[in-house]
Amino acid sequence: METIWLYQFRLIVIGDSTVGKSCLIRRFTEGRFAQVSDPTVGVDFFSRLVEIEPGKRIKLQIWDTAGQERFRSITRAYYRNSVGGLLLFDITNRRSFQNVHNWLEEARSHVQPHSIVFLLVGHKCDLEAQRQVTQHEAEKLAGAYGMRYVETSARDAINVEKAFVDLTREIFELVRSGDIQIQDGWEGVKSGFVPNMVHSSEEVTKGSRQCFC
Amino acid sequence: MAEVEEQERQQSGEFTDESEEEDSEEEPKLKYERLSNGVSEILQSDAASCMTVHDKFLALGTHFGKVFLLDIQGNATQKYDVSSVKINQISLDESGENVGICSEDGKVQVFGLYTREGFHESFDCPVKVVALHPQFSRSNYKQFVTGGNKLLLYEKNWLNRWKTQVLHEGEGTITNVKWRANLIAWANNLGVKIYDFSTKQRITNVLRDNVSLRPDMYPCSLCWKDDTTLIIGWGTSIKICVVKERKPTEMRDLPNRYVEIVSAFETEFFICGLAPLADQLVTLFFVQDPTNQMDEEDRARPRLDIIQALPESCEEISSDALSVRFYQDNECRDYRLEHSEGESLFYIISPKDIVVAKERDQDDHIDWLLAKKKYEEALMAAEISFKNIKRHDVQRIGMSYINHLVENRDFNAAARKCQKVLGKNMELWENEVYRFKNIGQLKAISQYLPRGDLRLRPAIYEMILHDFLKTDYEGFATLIREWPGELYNNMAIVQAVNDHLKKDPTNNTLLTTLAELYTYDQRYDRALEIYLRLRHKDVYQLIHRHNLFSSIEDKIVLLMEFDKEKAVDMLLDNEDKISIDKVVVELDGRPELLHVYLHKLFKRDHHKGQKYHERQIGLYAEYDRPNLLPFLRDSTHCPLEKALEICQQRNFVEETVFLLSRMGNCRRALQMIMEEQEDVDKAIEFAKEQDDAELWEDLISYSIDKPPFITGLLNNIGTHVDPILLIKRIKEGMEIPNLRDSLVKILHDYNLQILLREGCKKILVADSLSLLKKMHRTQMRGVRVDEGNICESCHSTILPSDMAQPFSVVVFHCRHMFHKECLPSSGTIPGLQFCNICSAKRRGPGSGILEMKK
Repeated sequence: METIWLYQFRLIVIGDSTVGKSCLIRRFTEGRFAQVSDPTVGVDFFSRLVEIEPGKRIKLQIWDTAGQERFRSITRAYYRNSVGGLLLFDITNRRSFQNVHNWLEEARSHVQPHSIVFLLVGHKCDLEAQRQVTQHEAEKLAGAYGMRYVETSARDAINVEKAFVDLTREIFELVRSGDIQIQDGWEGVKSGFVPNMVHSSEEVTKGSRQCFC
Repeated sequence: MAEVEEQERQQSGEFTDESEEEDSEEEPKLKYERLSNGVSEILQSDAASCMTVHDKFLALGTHFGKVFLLDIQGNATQKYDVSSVKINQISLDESGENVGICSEDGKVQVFGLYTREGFHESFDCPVKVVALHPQFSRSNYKQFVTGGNKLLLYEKNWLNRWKTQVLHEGEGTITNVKWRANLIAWANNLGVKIYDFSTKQRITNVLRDNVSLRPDMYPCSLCWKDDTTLIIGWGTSIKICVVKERKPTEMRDLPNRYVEIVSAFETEFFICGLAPLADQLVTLFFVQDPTNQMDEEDRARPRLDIIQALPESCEEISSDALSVRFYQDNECRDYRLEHSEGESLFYIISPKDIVVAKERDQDDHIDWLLAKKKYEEALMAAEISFKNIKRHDVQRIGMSYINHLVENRDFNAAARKCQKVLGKNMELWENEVYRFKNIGQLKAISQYLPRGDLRLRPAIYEMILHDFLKTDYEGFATLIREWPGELYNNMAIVQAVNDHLKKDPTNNTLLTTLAELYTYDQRYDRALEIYLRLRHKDVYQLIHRHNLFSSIEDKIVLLMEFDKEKAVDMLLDNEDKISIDKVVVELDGRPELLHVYLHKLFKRDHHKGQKYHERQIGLYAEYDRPNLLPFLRDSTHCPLEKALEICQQRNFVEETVFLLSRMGNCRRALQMIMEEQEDVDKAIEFAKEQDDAELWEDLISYSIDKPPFITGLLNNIGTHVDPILLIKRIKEGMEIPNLRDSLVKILHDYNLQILLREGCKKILVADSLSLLKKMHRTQMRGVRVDEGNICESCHSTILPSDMAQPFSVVVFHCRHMFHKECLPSSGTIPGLQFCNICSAKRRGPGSGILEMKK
């Protein structure tokens, strides 16, 4: 029943409310775009497989967070168990761009001593006419924090795949190089099944899964 | 540390006044307690997301992905690290041995609390619900359902492997599920559905009412009231659904069970939890002012209401606003209401606070009544359920009631309550008495003081008596009468009464009371003296009760004068103690009293006072003539000559007549009747009584020249004397009133007599005839002759041993049998022969049967 994957990465999507986090995730996981959607409450999660190289599939677990979260302290658990994140701002909303710094600070304060590989996303790039943040200043900011920058539109499906796949590739490289390691009790990266590894030691500990294959 | 405790106390104090209308006369139905201990600690750093209640323990899930098992005091006994994020639901089976947990990051764990073995799975979407089969601990019910975006049923197959089946999908996230018996109810974004496990069919779909509310913000509450009743709360609408069996006739290809919505109504606020309470509903409401819905800073406290569901509306029974910690931060979906099936315990779960609501017990009820100063009701409630109350005590409530009454200066009521409340507690009684003394209300308590098995010290009673003596003689007298004499020191009280009598020597009340006191002290002579002086009616009772007859021998006249009837009754009742002779001697000088006494004596017994009968004649004649004649008639002991003399002296005709006839001088008596009384009817009556021909003759001779007498005679004597005798002697030309009628009457009487005689004759003849017929019938009956019979003459068997020989037997109607040869040869006329035995005894035929029967 479950598709076989190499790794599972847990990603978190953060940013001010109404920047379009949920829409971006839905476009990526369900291929749909809803003109109207309710604000997210709490945390929601979705998953999708991406194939970064032929035969190498990565399962992404994507956590959608509420821009306005009442139990900020509760969100800490979601940060800590994420390996990567998309930090969204709305290119038509300058304030959301200014808040990028705050979001990064918040994420860092929660996840130490781990770190999260962030990708800065300028969302709603289809609304070029209302742009308040130039691509240049956004790229500058991203560079300052050592992030990459991409501009996306969930409505027009621009760069949605690219944003997620790029981030996944980046993390995959770090995992492969050993900069990010699988740890017990940390759910950021999990090793999955590879067809020729059915009888690995991993399999024994998760025996109950076997019956669904 | 002290500060923390202080804070705690304040916080729990908040729960004493949940009711919004604090002065309401309505008693709250529930009481609240914060679940503290371990829970407080957990919620300081974590937040509660869900909880499940078992009879013995609680299972609490948190936003940090932990599951704690708690005892009912809130102490954590076990901790499970399930996830890093919010636990969405915990499901326990009925045994409480197995648990199912699901979390926001898609983890589902089902395991035995003791074995730790079980099922672990991670889904790719948040899993909101999990529900174990209620009988999960049994090997053939290893089933559970779990729901993210579809409702999955897991079942362990015979190979001990988990097998899945999708029960439902395609309508969004499953938000709630409740498994009860064979029925699984679940909610998704569109409605509530029920799956019948026994037929593996979905049997209903109850659509969501208010689709404008976000289902994730205002989640559906589900609650099975019993095995067939599901209560659904969603937004502001409640629906009560009953699963019913379909009639076989309507079955066709429909499922055999269906759901009927028996009640549907709207509520004022948003529902965050439901629980049944008997036939009512406990509802947890999220209160939001619709005008400033968006203003999150201004959230109100949640409310716990008890409502009575009606088919299309509901009635609010009680409503309490709850001050849960940080209620300002909570939204509708943050609250949960769980209940324990066994006891009526309701847990209100909010992220930072867990509150337990209990049904108020009798103690709480009494608390409330006391707070409302409803002492009477509190006392009653305590008495009715004195076995069940733990904190209260009937006596303590009673004492506070008494205090309350005293404070309100209702001393009588307070005193009356003392009797009930203080019971047999001597110390309390004495305290109360002193209190009443201090407030000058001894009188109020006096009539309620114990005087039965329990006795207070005599000083207490004396104190009260002295108090009365000073102000209220009547009250004093009543107390003396009502209280047993042993309650107080008699001498002291007698002394006090005497002191008072010195001031007021003729006071009746005091004297009577003094007499009573003497009586208690067995100084009867003194008591008697006072009673007689007062002419008090109790004197007879006193004498009688205390057997004082020896001391009244010289007071008989006095007693008689006071009340003859009672005195005589008493004397006669106690004749054995005061002899008749004695009384007669005492009363010698007072013949009228003597008469009353003797008369009563005679009425009771005609023989007892026989030696005084002679004397009584005179007394009757003097004082009571109407009773003289009855006396003469009934007495067998009075000398007749003496009586006659007295009666003749006084010219008592009636009595004289009676005496004369009694003495045998009937003619003189008749003469007196006729001459003195001129009463023909009486004369005739007299003559009838005596039935003496000479008397009749006298009567007739005397009457012959008095026509009215003749009429009387003619009318009456027919049955006694031949009226011809009278008629013949009537002189010619004499005018007799009503002669014709009298003659007609005589003739009529004759006629009647003749008719009577003829009637009698007819009856006799008829009787004779019927008897004759009967005899004839009897004689016609056959007579059995067999070996048992003997010849009455030769006494050998009547039948010969050889029946071949000719023989002759004679049987008479008297059943005597003879061999023909044994009878003397009959005369010349054949058949004219008699039974020797019977003719010898001169008996009639048939008498032999009687003899044989003997």
